[in-house]
Amino acid sequence: MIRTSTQYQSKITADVRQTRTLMIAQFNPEVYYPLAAATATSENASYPVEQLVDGRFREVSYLSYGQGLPIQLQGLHTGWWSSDLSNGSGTMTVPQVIVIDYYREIRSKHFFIVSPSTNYPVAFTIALSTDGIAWETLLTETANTAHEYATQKPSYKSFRYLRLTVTKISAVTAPAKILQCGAVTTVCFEFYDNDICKLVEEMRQYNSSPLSCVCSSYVECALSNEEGLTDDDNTDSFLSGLLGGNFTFRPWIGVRVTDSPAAEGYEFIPLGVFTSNAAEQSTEDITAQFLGYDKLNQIKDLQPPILSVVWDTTVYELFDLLFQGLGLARGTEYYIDKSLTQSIAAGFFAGEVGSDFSEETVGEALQVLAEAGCAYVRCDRFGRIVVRSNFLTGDVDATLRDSDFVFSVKKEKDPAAHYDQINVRYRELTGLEDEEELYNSDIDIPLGGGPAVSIEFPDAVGIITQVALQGTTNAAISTVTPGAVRMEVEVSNTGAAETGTLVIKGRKLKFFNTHIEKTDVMTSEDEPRKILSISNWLIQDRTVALSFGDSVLHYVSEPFSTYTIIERGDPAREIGDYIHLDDNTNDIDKYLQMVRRTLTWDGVLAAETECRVALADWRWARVTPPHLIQCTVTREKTVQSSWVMPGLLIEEEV
Amino acid sequence: MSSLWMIATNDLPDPGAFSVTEFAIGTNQRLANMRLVTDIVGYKKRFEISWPTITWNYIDPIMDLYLASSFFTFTYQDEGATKTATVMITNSPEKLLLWIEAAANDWVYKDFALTMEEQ
Repeated sequence: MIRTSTQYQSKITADVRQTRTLMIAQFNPEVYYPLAAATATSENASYPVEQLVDGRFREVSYLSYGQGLPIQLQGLHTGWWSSDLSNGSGTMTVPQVIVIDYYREIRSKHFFIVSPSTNYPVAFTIALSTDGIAWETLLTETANTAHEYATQKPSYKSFRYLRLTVTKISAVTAPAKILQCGAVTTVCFEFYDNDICKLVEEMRQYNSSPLSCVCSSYVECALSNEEGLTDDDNTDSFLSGLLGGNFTFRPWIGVRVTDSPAAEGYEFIPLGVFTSNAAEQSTEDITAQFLGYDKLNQIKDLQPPILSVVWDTTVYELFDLLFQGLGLARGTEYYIDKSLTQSIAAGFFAGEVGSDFSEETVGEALQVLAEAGCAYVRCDRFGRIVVRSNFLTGDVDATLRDSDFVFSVKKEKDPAAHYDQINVRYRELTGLEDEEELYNSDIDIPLGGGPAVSIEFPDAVGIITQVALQGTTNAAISTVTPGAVRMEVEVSNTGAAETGTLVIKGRKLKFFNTHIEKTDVMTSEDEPRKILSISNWLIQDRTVALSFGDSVLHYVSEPFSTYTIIERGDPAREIGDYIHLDDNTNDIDKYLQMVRRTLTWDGVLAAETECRVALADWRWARVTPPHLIQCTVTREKTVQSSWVMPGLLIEEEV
Repeated sequence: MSSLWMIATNDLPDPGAFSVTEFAIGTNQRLANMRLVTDIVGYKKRFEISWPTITWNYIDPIMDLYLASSFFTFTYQDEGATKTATVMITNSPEKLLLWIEAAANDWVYKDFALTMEEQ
């Protein structure tokens, strides 16, 4: 749940609410707020020159707030006005020189000047520089007639500074007026340009487990195509050729929080950071539509990094290693809930037991790891990957009532997804196998060494004891990247091409296969039981297996485990949030976790939210009313656990 | 002196009746407990103007704008002030010919009414 102000909360629950959107499109990956600094020969104090480089090409007459909203977008946007005036023929009495510093060297081939339709530059020059001293003229116009001027050069230009010199404007005895100019890097589309914004957040399944843990989001946006501005092949538009490519964009939905017409203000809620897919961009007469996916979508199909076995680790540490192996920075690019302390005796990335490791993806590794930690993984609204526990603890994020948010609720009963018993297969580490030869194969080594040799082991390896290249004259092993299930060996060769034998020896991990069974207490022993079997390589501890088993049982044994709520919509609520559904009309009082949500803005907000029953940690799951839980450990002993009353557990060996 | 009533750049005679109403754009829906809630996008103006009699020379450019389905500037009087709005004609203007020729080829029509909505 995004943090919001009390003003926002009161408005979102009020009967009449006004909303609008904005979207920040980042066409140059190097340039984000602050975009640039600008200076001008003269400026009217009410129309300062920094307004030229805030990405806004429309006049904005309201204030904007919001967590993460760039400060440059929070005030009004009036554009820049010179204090010097033009003469009776439109010629500026003093040429107006605007210099823009992008803080770093950037590359661009799109340049633009957007002005009011009644006052725009007619004669001007644009020059570029890498050092602010030596300038190269990019173009000179003497008879411009467009108030939205755009030019696209055939090749990219590298520069840090851009200089615009305006010598004549279309208005007489008037100041020069420009709303936005320079290179097209990051552009802010106001509500005037946004037609539709539809956000879909969902938890997806990567294996047979009914508890999907890895989320992904996408957003569909439609921009107004009035005057062909967003028509990708309209060469007169400064957006020409940009919306049809891949770019990053951040949509926001704002709720009007201040009523005074003099200080109209909107609090904006971010919807996420998305990368557009050029293949899914289309333009109709009146709208340009495109689709964007979050960061998890970009990494889910990658191969996990090669990682050696990590001994006596935790779910938290393994998530940390996985994200670092993917090149992400802790804190700014990912966050992991510190409560994920479930122990893993021998941690490594692998899919389910018996899976083909070479087919494994980051998405599958995240799902297996999230199961082991009873957690969910999602990309938050600021583009950061977040891992949080699936267990409901503390207060819920929001309460939806039939008197303020809920239009209708559908309780869903799916007999195919209903089970009476859960079997969780897991492994307990018992040590290492004796040393054995893991790999023995001839490899051809060209002059220079050739590409790295990728090796996959059929079983997880705890320790690599030997890597040898035999029968070669000049070739030698240069780099070894050992992993539990994959390994890479680079070989150098200073002489002629030759063939050698690569031999790898090591000790495989030794596991004891076992399982726990958890049975729904409402099922009679005489009735046939529908059993769901789940296995997870990274569950290596009985406590974790019990916790996971009970969570799944809790979910699949409920007659009504999923709820679909048609509601008014609050953009601050996110997938994974816990809500209290308090619907007196339909007699529903449930604690739920959001697993899929469609939030649509087309002038007004609408939301469809799918939820599953909230999960509680196995130690607390069945406290009220008192239930009996039976669990059996198939190793050396059978343990029967019973809940007698809240806080009192009796566990006895049978 | 600018005209008091204009459609685009065309002068209009003083109307017989004129009204400006603001209407809300949004949705009305009932919650599960049957309570009606409204989410508003914004408010826009609707202009209703009519003439008991008007000649064809005035109607002709209006019909051109209507058939073009385009937005244009409407100049009107409101509380003693001249105001403008960008509007579009949203009704189908009906013309009832009176068979009276005000001038050569300029016939008089009866009860001509327009409804316009702000862009």
